Amino acid sequence: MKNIILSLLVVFLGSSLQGQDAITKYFDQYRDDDRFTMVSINKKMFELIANIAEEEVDAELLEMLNEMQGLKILTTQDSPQSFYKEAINKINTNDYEELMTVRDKDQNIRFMVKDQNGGKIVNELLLLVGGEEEFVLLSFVGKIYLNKIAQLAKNMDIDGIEHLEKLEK
Amino acid sequence: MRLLITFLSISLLITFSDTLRAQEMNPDKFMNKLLKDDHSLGVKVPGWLIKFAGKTATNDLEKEEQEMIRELTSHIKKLRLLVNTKAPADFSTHYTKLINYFHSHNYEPLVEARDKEHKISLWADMDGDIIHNLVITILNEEETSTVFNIKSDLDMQTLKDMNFFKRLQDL
Repeated sequence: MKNIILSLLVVFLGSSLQGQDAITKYFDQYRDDDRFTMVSINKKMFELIANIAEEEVDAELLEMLNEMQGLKILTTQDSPQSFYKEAINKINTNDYEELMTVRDKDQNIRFMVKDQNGGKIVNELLLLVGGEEEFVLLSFVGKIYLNKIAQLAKNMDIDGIEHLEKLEK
Repeated sequence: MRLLITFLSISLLITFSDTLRAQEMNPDKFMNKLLKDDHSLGVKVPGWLIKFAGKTATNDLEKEEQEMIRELTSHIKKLRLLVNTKAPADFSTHYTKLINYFHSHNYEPLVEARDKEHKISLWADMDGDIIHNLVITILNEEETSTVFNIKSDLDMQTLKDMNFFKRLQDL
């Protein structure tokens, strides 16, 4: 009897405490907030795109599409600087390696990556933009070829993603 | 004691599954609920009519485009479209039940996007490469909302074989 109760408790606590990483938590906090524009594309959609576009893209971009786990974008023009500061505080940026920082027309643009494998491939790309006009949080998870990300961004017409084109320069 | 535990477990399971079911609504039921509202308009197009339209309405197109549209339309079994010009008071409750249904029936949230006015989502019920059901919701609680419910047996190989992506760009 004790074992049954303990097992039930473990299952219940386990499911309720299931860990969400800081970005997902931050994203979920604002995904239904009217001040934000939100875009979320999941793994299956990237697989579909890869499947349909197989003959149109090169091998690296195709592999990247197939291995993509998801894309999340949050943008807002309301109090962008305070959201930028909040994101920096809530997301443990120490877990990431700073790839590039751009200061562009009163904007801070930070590109951060995780688990870099030998230079051009990363497992996670985080972009944070904070300035007087907008705040952008963009998270790409998957097998990301840094040299292909700008090419992918050019083909996606989504607010906020254009910042990724800076990686080409 | 064992009998009591078994009885309690089964009772709990039945109660739990009934509660879950009551909090779910499949896409057809969701559309039927909204259709009861005066501000809604629904269109149901059967597969044979879509196939017929695919064969007849493409005469002005190039041969390759005709083939693509015919191939695509031949895989659509049913299309339902609902347009609602003013969301009813209980809209959020119904929508939550629809989302619960998607979650419990392993629909994939392919895309979700939202801005100040619109909330767009694309959910798919897929079995490997075959898309059985595609539900697209374009919601605006203040103005017009649109829901597409497409039943199909379209598979990725078909789209690949017909160079769908390239032809779509050409169109």
